[in-house]
Amino acid sequence: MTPDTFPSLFWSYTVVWGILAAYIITLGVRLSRLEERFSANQEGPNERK
Amino acid sequence: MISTLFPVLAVATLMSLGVAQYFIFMVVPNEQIMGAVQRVFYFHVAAALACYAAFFVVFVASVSYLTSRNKRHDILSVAAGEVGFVLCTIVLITGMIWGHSAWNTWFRWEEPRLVTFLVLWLIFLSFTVLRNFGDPTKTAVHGSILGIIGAASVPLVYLSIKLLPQSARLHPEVVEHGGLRDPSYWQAFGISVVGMFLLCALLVWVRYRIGCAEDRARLRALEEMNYDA
Repeated sequence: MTPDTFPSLFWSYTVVWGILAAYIITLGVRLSRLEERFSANQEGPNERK
Repeated sequence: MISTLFPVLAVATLMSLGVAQYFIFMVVPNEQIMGAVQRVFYFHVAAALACYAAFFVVFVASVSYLTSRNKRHDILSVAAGEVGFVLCTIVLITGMIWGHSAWNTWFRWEEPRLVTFLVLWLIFLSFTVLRNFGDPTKTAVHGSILGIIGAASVPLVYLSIKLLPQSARLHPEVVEHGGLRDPSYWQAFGISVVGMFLLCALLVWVRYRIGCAEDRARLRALEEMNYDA
């Protein structure tokens, strides 16, 4: 009789998509920080003038 | 060119991963001995192949950086190393979950493929930590050397079970031993590999562009500091 290994399958794919989602979120956070940095840099020289 | 290629790659990645998931859960029949958990194989092996490809990029970019000192090559090495580490983590955890079902233990220290893969994961963990928290004046050279060492250990991971007698091998060699007999197994496996390679390429590309933009921001900040001084 084939064992019921569905819980292992469920957790495996949860881990796969969870890790990928977490990495994509960290990339998104880095990107938004960069945008803030660039916009602050653009405002900086204008304020000096 | 880049602006049109990116959405095409993103859509192709999503579609291939979606089709792969459909095949894995809806088309492929249950394996007789292991049951449902055998379906872990498709993303586990595909992620392993994609992480080896990412580490090959690390190797080429690191050697190229050490010979040319081109900053872009270093940024590519960091991007591929980080994405490879993420995929390596997926391989390690899904393998452990499968191992818990097959062997009733999370990890077998006498199994050379598992141990060499854990060493590979630890090398790229230290690579990622070094690149994010190391001394900025030295990390490029040190990271490149570590990247070359890590990528050079990939053949060791592959050959680790080939060098042992058949009786001592625990890690399954499904593809090498013609284990995928049903045509749908091959279809699911092929689409999973294509999806994982596309995802790997997409993530490396995004991470590379973020790295280039961070480098530009750093240079601009330095110019601002010089201007203020």
